[in-house]
Amino acid sequence: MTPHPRALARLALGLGLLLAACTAAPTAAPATEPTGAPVVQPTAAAAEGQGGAGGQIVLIIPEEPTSLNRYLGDAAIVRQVADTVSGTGLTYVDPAGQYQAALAAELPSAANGGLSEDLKTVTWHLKPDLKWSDGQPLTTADIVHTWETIANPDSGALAQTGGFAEITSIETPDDVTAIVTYAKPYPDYLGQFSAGLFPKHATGAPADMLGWEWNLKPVGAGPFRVTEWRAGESITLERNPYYYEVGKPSLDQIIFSIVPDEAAQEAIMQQGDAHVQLWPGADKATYDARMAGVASQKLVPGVWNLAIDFNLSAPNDGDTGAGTPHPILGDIRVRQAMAHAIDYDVLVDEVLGDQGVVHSTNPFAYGWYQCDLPRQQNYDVEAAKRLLEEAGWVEGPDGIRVAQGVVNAPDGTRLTLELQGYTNYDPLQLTEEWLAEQWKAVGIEITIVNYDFSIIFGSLSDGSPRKTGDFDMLIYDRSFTIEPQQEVSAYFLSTSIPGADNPDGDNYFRWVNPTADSLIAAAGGTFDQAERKQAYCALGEMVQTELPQLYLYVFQDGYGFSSRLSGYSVSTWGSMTWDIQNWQLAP
Amino acid sequence: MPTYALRRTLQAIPILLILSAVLFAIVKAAPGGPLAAAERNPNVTAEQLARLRDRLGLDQPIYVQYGKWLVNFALAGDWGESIKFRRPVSDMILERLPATFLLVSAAFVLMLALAVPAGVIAASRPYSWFDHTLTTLSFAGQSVPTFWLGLILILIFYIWLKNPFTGEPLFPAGGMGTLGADRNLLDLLWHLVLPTVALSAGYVAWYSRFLRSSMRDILNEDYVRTGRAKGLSERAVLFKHAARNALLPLVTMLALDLPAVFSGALFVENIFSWPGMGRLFWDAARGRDYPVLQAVVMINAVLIVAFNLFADLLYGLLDPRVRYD
Repeated sequence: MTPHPRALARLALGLGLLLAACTAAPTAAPATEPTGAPVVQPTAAAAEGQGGAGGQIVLIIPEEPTSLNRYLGDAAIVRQVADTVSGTGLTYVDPAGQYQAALAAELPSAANGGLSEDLKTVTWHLKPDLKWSDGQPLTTADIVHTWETIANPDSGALAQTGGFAEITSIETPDDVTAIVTYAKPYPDYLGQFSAGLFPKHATGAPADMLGWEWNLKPVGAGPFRVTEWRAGESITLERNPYYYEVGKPSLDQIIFSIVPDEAAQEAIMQQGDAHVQLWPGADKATYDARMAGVASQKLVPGVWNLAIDFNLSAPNDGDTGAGTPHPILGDIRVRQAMAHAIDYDVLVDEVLGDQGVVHSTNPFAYGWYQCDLPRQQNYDVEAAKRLLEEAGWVEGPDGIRVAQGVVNAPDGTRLTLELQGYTNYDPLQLTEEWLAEQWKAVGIEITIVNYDFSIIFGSLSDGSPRKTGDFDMLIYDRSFTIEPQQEVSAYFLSTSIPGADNPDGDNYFRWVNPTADSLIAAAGGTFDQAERKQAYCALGEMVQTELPQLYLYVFQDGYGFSSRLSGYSVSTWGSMTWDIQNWQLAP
Repeated sequence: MPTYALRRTLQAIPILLILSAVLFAIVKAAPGGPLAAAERNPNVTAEQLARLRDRLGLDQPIYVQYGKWLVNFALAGDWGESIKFRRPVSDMILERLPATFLLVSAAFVLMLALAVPAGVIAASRPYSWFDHTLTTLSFAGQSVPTFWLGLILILIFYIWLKNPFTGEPLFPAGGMGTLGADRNLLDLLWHLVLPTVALSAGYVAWYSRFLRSSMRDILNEDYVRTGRAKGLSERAVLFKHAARNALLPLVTMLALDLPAVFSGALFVENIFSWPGMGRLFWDAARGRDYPVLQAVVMINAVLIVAFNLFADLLYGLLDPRVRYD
């Protein structure tokens, strides 16, 4: 028997049958059907709206979200989609970094009696007659359920978990009132339920959260609800007729289309077949030129800051703590000289000109705690050299300095340092190489050592250099959340130096400063935003002076928006869809 | 032959066992892990992470993890649950298989439809203009990277060329169906065209060259001369006598390429947003979604072993000169 043309014909026939089978087979789990509940026709509801033209838009995302439950993980892609469905909670963060009421009737404060005098009790009132996307009433019982789930250590919650464990009780005198009591004052109480609520009737037992069907088919309070999820391909959502803002959203249908290839993404945007593109790879000028008016890129400074951590303590001495000063970096003049040696303008505007970064050498560069802190060490090569000379580092025969009367290093020590980063991130590598050149110009020799992401950010037991203190300088991106107290404490408190007794500490610089400690305590001791900001800014200024850390620039987030869309805004604190209920599509 | 088949099948078991252990070790040895993002998050405590690791079994020694995986896989056919999606791996694979199967089979069909006649004709008229053109094209087809060809196809058929009646692009840029519309066979076929062409280009080039040289050898055989001498038409000589023999080695090649029907075509799936197995594998590899990764890799291993055996057996059926002892 040999292959015969007829065999090929049979194969083709089989393929045809297969095609038919493929189209008939359901590709993905069916959508959330509001079974039994009276269904308000989306079109009827839209008619009573604010005159939105309705319509359908396509949003391009590069990969599939693993769930639509924001408490399961911090992946940014999850948030882009979840914010349209399940991410609507009691409050949200506006572009200025301030909380605003969403499902809550108002923000609880001391003035309106929502916050008790001892700051431990918060009283929330829901807006009247709230409903879930399946039409069931949304009540304070759902708030309790959300707390019971996230506070349950077996739930597997990994994100937005702050504060839940400190809640001792939630009383619900009626369906719209929830009285939340904390064991100790929790400064971010306004953000407690901002990542969405769990509907008690449509989720499951708290300990089973990882396996909830709800995670992929959520009943939410957001402006849209999932109608179809095609694995690896697209997620289709329709207008939620029960959305709390009357007359919103304007759009009838939104479709998240998963398009991994960047060139294909741009082609689809350019043809007008999609209306929003998450994180275009091209810089704004190039992107806008390619889109030729069909779409343009909107940029907003994000929360990621690139900074250098200086190790003020001796590396490789078997001591993770701040004991012996670093032979080179232990002298503040060396750190100041290094800061003076960098041409920040060239770095941001030329070296990283197409990487979408903005000038910022301020530790507190965004949010309600944004400080006005001008750079303390401007680009000044002469000042850098002078400081190094003062510190006892004299020029050697090959241009690299050597110690001569240096406090912490024997004479003849070469001024050579290791800069550790992580691999596969262009802006980081470009910055490292540029810094090495700049520092070489003042007589400092730099060896760049890049590890895999997982090593640089590993744990103490993994032997990660930043945890063990065995490094000279680290360079990576870091961020503060909307409520920074926990992160600020972890970074800058003298008690946060990582070691066997404190493996979670993040004070990698081994910076010990009693004034900093008291400023952080002051910021944590009050809920008064003005007072807290003052403390953070004083701390920020100290960081700039003493240089445990040197901030270089802030990354921006970019989104491609079709010129047919209006009503949107981009926010440092939100995903691209954070205000999708306001979007309008021109015909 | 049944004895031979049985022996080969039994031999495959230790091979697959060793393979599964090695793959498991390699997958786990890769830096990072499924919880890398959480590990980096300063708001996630070590206790939370420890609990989750415990729950996912990630804190157990690797041989224990492997043992559990093997028992579940071998005895219960259970591939476990995706760490990232918290869904059964088998469900995720079954969702992706039809897409991949469709795309890769279509590419193979297109390849056979083009490569077999092209190879036969080129061999029958060596150094003619047709042969030279085919040679040039097949070298181009083999050298052009799939992802580049895919983008060029998008540029030409999605951006440049429009349907004269509707003004819509001639072919879509990706996906398996028009977004927001009901799915139907015609729509699916319309979406299938560009990825199939992109995927088959390399295969056509390779197989047509292969068939040409195989045909050239056969055409020098005595029985071909005999056929011509007894006055058979050139068509009968070429297709009935020569091509059928020339196709023999091609069957082996095809059998070895066929596992791609299940493993997918990563580059084409990426460019054309095709939700197939290649992308499932890629996403699992990047996210260190161990259970998905291990399952996909093992399925491939089994298929490659199986198709090797299949090719050997098929060869015996097709060619009576081959004997199994």
